[in-house]
Amino acid sequence: MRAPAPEAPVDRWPAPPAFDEYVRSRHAELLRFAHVLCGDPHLAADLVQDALVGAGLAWGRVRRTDDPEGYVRRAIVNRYLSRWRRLRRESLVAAVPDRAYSDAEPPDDELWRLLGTLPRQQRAVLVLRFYADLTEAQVADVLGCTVGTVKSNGHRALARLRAALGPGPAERPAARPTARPAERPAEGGDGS
Amino acid sequence: MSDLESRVRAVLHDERYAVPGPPDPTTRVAAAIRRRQRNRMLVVGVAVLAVAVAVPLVLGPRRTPDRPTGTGSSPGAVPWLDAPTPLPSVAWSSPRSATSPCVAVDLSPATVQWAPGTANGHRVLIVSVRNTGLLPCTLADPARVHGADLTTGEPVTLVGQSTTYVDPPDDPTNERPPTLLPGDRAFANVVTDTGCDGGINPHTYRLDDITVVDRRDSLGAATAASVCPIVVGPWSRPLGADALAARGDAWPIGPLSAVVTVPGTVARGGELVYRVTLRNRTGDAVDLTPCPHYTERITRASATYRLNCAVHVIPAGGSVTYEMRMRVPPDLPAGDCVLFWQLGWPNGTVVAGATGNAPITVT
Repeated sequence: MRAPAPEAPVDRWPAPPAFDEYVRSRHAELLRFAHVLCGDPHLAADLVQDALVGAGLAWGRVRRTDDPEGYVRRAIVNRYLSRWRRLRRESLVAAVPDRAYSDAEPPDDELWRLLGTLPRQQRAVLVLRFYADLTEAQVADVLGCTVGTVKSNGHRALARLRAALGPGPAERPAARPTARPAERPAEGGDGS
Repeated sequence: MSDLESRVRAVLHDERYAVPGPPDPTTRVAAAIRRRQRNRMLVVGVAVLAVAVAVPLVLGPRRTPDRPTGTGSSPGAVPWLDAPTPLPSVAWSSPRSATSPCVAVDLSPATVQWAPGTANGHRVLIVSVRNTGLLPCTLADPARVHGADLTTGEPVTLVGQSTTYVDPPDDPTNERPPTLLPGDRAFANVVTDTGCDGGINPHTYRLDDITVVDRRDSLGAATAASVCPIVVGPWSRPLGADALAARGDAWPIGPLSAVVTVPGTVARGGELVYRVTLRNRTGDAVDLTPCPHYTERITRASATYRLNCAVHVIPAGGSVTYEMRMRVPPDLPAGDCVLFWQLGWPNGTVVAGATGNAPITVT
């Protein structure tokens, strides 16, 4: 008697419990990371989804690594820096997300917007350094570049922000009546 | 850390820039994974299908049917098949008694064809006439070829001789003079030689016509370069291997030609590895079925083998090269010889035209 044909894998992707649990527990944080990286909530969701799908397909291998989180974040960064994706979706106008009213100190919308004007490589350095709290060597490892490139990109990014924000000891006036017009990223100025 | 760095850190960690995620990310991710797996399978399927379609399209027109790639010592050639076979008995035609002489009106106009290849520098123009009458007749009158020596400008008349290089005396395979039944053909060889006299003083001849009995037929002003005088052989009728080919409308030079390629020398006691290329000169494929045999001969050393019919179809206008191997007896006399090669059908008749020669030195 002929054995029944195995069910097509597409219909029963075996979501490993560990992966399922990982997605459930880390999705919000990954989305946040992607959002500060790209400044666009829709692109962020796209990046996270894409990275998680890749990780899910290779979960057996990813799980054996010491740092699944690092793997997924690296995937997000790589997709963000992907030249193909950049061509496909070059709408990096810093979108300020809707947020609830708060009596706390007002959000730094201007700086957020200026972050969106940075070249991707420079912005990625800032995010990995000051959001993910990675060392320069770790940032270099994630970006696949040298520490020197990380340093120069970080320096250029801060210099660009500093110049855009204007002089001042605090580099941030208490209140600005209007935001400066967003700078266009310098062509080829991502330091890669 | 500078104030700006602190400010960057603060804005990046500002929870107010957080974006709400989907309520059930696991379902969403799992669905995307299934979608990607499906797409991958689709891409793989399409790729496999494309390859399956493209490969025959790309390779098909270039592939010669039934033509394997060469192996062994003769790349590109059909490998030699070690299959010795006895020489099939030939359906010999019995010699006939002479009857009334042929008259021109009962003979078809002469047709001519150059025999393929050369043997020791000889070229052979084969002239053929056919008995189109109702009765048998004997063609005893020697042929006479008329033309001119273009080198000297002198007219030339060549009278048929009893023997030539390709018409040895006492040849049991041919009847001379031939007695032709209705439909039979008689042949005469016009033989040139570019090998004698040291290859000097070459002459070029124009062959205008031939006298058959008392009628002149055109030879189409064929030109022939020769050193020695051109020789016209006797009329003859094949009795052996060519007998069937000589019947009816068949022409002894069939659709195939054979070119024999040998190394310059071969040592006695060694193995001669050579090639034979069968070329189909017609617009129709030639199918060598039933599988023919071939006979190879160097002076008195002779062997017969079955052809490697792994390749038996020679496409129209195409050719197939076969590797050949022949044991050279250790007691074979040293010197310049001719390797003779001939393809034959299992019934003993030759495969018309598939005959070749090549000079070789036995050391």
